[in-house]
Amino acid sequence: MFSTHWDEASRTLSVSGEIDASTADSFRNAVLAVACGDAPVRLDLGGVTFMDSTAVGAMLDAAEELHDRFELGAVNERVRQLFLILGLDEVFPELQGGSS
Amino acid sequence: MVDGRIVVQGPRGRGHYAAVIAGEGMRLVVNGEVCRSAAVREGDRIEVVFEAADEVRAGHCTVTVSADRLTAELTVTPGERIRRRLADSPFSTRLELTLHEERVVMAAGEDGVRRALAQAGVVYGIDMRSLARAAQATEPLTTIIARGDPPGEPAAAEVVLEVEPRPGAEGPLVQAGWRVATIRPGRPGKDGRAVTGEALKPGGRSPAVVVAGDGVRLVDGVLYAQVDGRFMVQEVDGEILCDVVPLRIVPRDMDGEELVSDTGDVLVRGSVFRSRLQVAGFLEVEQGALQSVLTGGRGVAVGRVVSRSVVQAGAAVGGLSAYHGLRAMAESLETILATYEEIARMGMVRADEWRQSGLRPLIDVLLRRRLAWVPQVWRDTRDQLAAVDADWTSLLDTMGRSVLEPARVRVGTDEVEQLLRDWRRRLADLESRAPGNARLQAYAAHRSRLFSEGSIWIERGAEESELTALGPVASPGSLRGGRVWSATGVAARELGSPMEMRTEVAVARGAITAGIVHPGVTVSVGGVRSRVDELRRNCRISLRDGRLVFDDDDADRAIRAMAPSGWVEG
Repeated sequence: MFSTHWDEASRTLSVSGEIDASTADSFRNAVLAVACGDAPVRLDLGGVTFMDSTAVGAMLDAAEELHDRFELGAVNERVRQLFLILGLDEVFPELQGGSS
Repeated sequence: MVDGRIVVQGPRGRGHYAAVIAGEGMRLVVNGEVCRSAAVREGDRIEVVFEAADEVRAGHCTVTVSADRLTAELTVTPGERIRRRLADSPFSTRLELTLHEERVVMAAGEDGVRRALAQAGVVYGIDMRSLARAAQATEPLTTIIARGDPPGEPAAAEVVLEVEPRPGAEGPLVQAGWRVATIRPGRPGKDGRAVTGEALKPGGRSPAVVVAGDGVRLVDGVLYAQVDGRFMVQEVDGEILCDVVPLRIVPRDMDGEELVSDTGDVLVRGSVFRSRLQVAGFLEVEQGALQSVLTGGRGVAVGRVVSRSVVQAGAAVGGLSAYHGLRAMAESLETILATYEEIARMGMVRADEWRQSGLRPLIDVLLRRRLAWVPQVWRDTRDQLAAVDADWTSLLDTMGRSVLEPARVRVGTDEVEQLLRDWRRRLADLESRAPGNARLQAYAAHRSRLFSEGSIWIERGAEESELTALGPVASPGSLRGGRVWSATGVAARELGSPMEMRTEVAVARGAITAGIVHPGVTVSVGGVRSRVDELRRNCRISLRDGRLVFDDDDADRAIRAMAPSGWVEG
C-alpha cells in the first residue's frame, strides 16, 4: 500500500509506502488526478520503499501522458538504483547525480 | 707353475718347504681341508681348484632408421671372450697362484648384422661393403648401412602470360583468337623407396600439369582464347587450370539500372549509381558505386569509393548480412535476464507479480528505453533473412512472439533462457563456418555495408561502414566509425579516429592487429569485449586465458599477410 500527499503550492505529489502490481493502477491515477491544465506535477518518491516493474511502468505511463508537465522529484537511493538499472536516466537525467 | 700345473721341488739341505697361497678365484685344498695357504711337504695332497670359468661378454648391433626413412645407421659393439688360467711363475720357495686373463674379441659377424637389420625392418639399399666391414669390426663402429632412394620432386609447370596483366584485378581481359599464354611444362614427381622397402611419394605440391579448361585451346604449348572474357589461371586438385571466363562488359556508367547475370563475370567500365547488380561470377566495377546494391557470387571489386551502398561477395551471404542484428538480439536477451537478476537481488520483485506476469512488466519497461532499439533491429534483421534463412527467420518469429509482443501476458526466465541458448548456438554455428573463396575488394567505403563469405580488403579505408566477413578483414588505411566483424582476424593501419568516432571491431577467433587504436574503439575477441581507453600503437589484441591481451606486433606485416595477390604497397 502507498499513501500520497499533495502540496498545491509546490505542485508536488509526495508518495510513500510500497507500490506493486496490485496498486500500480491507483498510483498512475493518483498522479494523473493532480494534473490540471498546463501546470507541472512534481512526483516525490522519497518515501517509497518498494516499486516493482509494473509500478515503474505505471509511472512511465503517467509521465508520457503528462509529457513536459511531469517532473521527477526526490527518490531514495534504492529506487534510484532501480531506475538506473532500467535505463531511466535517459528520461530523467537528474538520476545521475545521486539520491535527492 | 708350468702350463697350469704346480710342480713342487722339495727343499734342499736345511731349506724351507715351499708354501702355496691361494689367489683370487682359487680354492686351495690341502689333505682335504680348505686353506688360505700351506707349506708343501712330502706326502701332502695339494689341490688347487680354479673357480673362474671363461667369461663371454656379448657384443651388440643397433640399427636406427632416419625419420625420412631414407637412411639406416648401424652401430656395432663387438663382443669378447675372456679366458683365464693360472699364470706361469718361476720356481720359488714361495709360490703365489694368480690368474692370467686372455681376451679374445668376437666380431658381430655377417649373421649378427643381418639379424639386426631384419629386426629394424631394413631391406632396401643395404651397402654390402659397410656390412662386411661392420661384421668384421673389432672396435666399436658406426656407419650408414643402407640408403633409400629419395622421391623425385615434381617441377612446376609455368604459364607465361602473353597478355597484359592487371595487378590486383581479376585476370587479364582477352578476346577470342588471342594468344594468351605459353606453357612451360613441368616434370611429374617420381616415387622413391625407403630403406624399409615402402614407396615414398613426392612431397611437393607443385603442379606439373596444365589443363586447358573452358574457353581456351592448347596448341603446341600455346594457349589461345576461344571466347571474349577474362583469362583465369588457378590451381585445382594439383593441376593448373586455365580458363577464359566469359565476361560481359558494360562499357559505361550505370544509373538506375538493374543487371542480373546468371553465369560468368561482369565488368562495368564506369561507375554505378542507384543500381542493382547481381552476378553469379565475379563483379568488377572500375570506378565507384553510389546508393547501389552489388552482389558477386565469386567476388566483387570496386576500383573507387563505395558510398551508401550494399556490397556482397559470396553465393549465400544472407545469414552473414544479418549478423550484427542477430548478435544484437542475443545481447538484448542477455540484458533482460541480467536486469531481472539485478532487481531480484535488490528485492524489487514480488512473488505474486512474478506468478502472474513473469518478466512481462520488466520487458515492457526495458523496451520503452534501454532496449527501445530492439523492435526496429528485429524487423530489419527479419526482413534481411526472410528470403535466405528459414531457421533464423523462425527463431526471430519466436522472439517476436514471446518477447516483443506486448499483448502476451506472461514470459518467464526459462523461456528467455531457452531462446538465448538457441540464439547462441546458431550464432556459434555461423561464426564457425569456414571462410569461402569469395573476396571483396574496394578502394574505400563510406556509409556502406560490405559482406563477404571470404575476405574483405579496403585499400584506403572505411568510414561509418559495416564490414562483415567469414575470412579476414584488412586495410592499409583506417577503419573509423561503424562496425567490423570477422570470423578469423582483422588487420588495419588505424582503428577509430582522434575524434573518438564510435567504432566496434570484433573477431570470433584469431586477433585484431592495428598500427594505431584510438581511444573509444570497442574491441572484441571471442565474445570478450573491451573499450580501449588510451592510444595504442602496433598492437595485436587476442584472447588469452579468457582475457583480452594487447601484445606488441608489426601491423604492416599483418596487413601485408592479408593483402590480395598483386597488391603493391604505397
